[in-house]
Amino acid sequence: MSDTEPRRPPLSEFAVPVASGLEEDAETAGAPPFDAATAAEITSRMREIDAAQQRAEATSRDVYLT
Amino acid sequence: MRQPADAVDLRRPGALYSLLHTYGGASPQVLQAVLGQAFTQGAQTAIVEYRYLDADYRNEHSRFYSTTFRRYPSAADRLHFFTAPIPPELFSPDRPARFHRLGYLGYTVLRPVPAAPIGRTMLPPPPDLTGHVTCCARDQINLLGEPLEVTAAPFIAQDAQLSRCAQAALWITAYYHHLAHGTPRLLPGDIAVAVPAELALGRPVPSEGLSVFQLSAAATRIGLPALVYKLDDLPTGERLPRIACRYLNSGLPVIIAGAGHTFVLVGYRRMHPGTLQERIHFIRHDDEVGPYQLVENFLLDDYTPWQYLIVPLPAKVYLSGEKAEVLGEARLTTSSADSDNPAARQLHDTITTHEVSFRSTVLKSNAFKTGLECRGVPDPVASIYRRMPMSHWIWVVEATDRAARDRGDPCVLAEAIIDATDHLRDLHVLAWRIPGELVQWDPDEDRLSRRDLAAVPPLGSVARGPG
Repeated sequence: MSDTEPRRPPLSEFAVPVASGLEEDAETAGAPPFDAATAAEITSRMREIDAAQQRAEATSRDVYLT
Repeated sequence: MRQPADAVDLRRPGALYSLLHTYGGASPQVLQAVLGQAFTQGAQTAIVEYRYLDADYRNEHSRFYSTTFRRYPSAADRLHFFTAPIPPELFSPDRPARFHRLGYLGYTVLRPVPAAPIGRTMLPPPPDLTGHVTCCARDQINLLGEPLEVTAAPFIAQDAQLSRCAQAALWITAYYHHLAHGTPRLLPGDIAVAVPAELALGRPVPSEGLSVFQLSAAATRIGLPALVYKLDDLPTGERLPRIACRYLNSGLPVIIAGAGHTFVLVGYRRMHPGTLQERIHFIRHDDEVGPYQLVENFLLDDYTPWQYLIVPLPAKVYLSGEKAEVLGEARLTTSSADSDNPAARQLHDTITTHEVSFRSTVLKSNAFKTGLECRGVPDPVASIYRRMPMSHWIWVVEATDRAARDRGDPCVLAEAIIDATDHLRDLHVLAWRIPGELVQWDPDEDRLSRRDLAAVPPLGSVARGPG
């Protein structure tokens, strides 16, 4: 149990689990979501998106709307 | 005592002109557009509801019109449109007025301000644009004791004193979010107060207009913090239609600033898809012209060049659509490349040859789950998604077959579900489906769970627009 779960006594035998329909893949626990090359590409594109937002801010005081 | 309402037979020659003459005041253009749209939608009857205590106008009166030497009434009139003729029993004082069988179209509030008569307006899209307006919400009305409903994209015209175009655009957006997502209702005075006047020269009231910076700041203060895009300096691979349609597909109004004016995009239609003549026609609410104005070529528009695109978002959508799409595209591309399933490998090949395009839509996870059946999602997939814990808002990045999309057929071959509140420096995909496999990432355990899938046919999209 992770420390995000509240500490309570287990439910009684009257409780029947509702299955998620998925099977856990123990081998992937803690693995990074992407390989290094893909992760670097994602980071690069995210930075480009952030940079465009920052450039938008720089001129946004000069455009007046009536 | 004045009668509570009048019925106007719009089939009679001169009836529309009579309304325009009575209410158009010194600035009849927008009323003319509203009346014209109601008439083309088949309005045969108008009910004029007198002494209507409209919350928005009452607020404008309290904040501004009660402070002037010239007197303005504090009550407005409201005009309701119906597709049926006036029933004779409406004039009998012995029977309650009945309207529910008269084909209710919608309403417009008429301010008693000659320079700016059009207040809150809820009229459905014109017939040729029905299905293309993605930012419609349901409003409830009570007319002489009878409840009525209308589904429309909200509209208001600026009063040119308390509100200019930017405030009107924010009001349109805020009222839509109020109706569609249950955010607090904001009145014109609330929006005027939200504008940081100290960030510009001049006085806040009468408003001389806002800068884009002030508009963005006001959006934050009203609880709809905005993404702002400078349209001549977009990230690589992004274009105005692509960004605008991403948010319109999500049912989020998009504010455009250009040529010193601002207006709100509420939908779009794709013309001649899959051909060299393919064009996006945007549908806008222009507070100085009227609702549902068609923009056939944004590059040749009256407000060209469009300079900024501003998207007020629900506060808990932390992740932009552009970032979600980068993440979802990477997930679906790498997972399909690594799969042993022939259909998944074929998906990867079509991604590489650009026969597949990615489409990103933000929506509430509950709406995603309840809509699975309508989109034709097979039970084994729907069952897993419905049981999956998700954030309140999710981005759904879909890999779509372009040709099928252009034909209007189900086109979604794979999708990635992204937590719209995820940490920007540790982004994960909550779940994804590619041919042969559905995978979930458990953020509590940092662990993946899987399920092998039988073949799934192309599915309908979560997007509200045509793609």
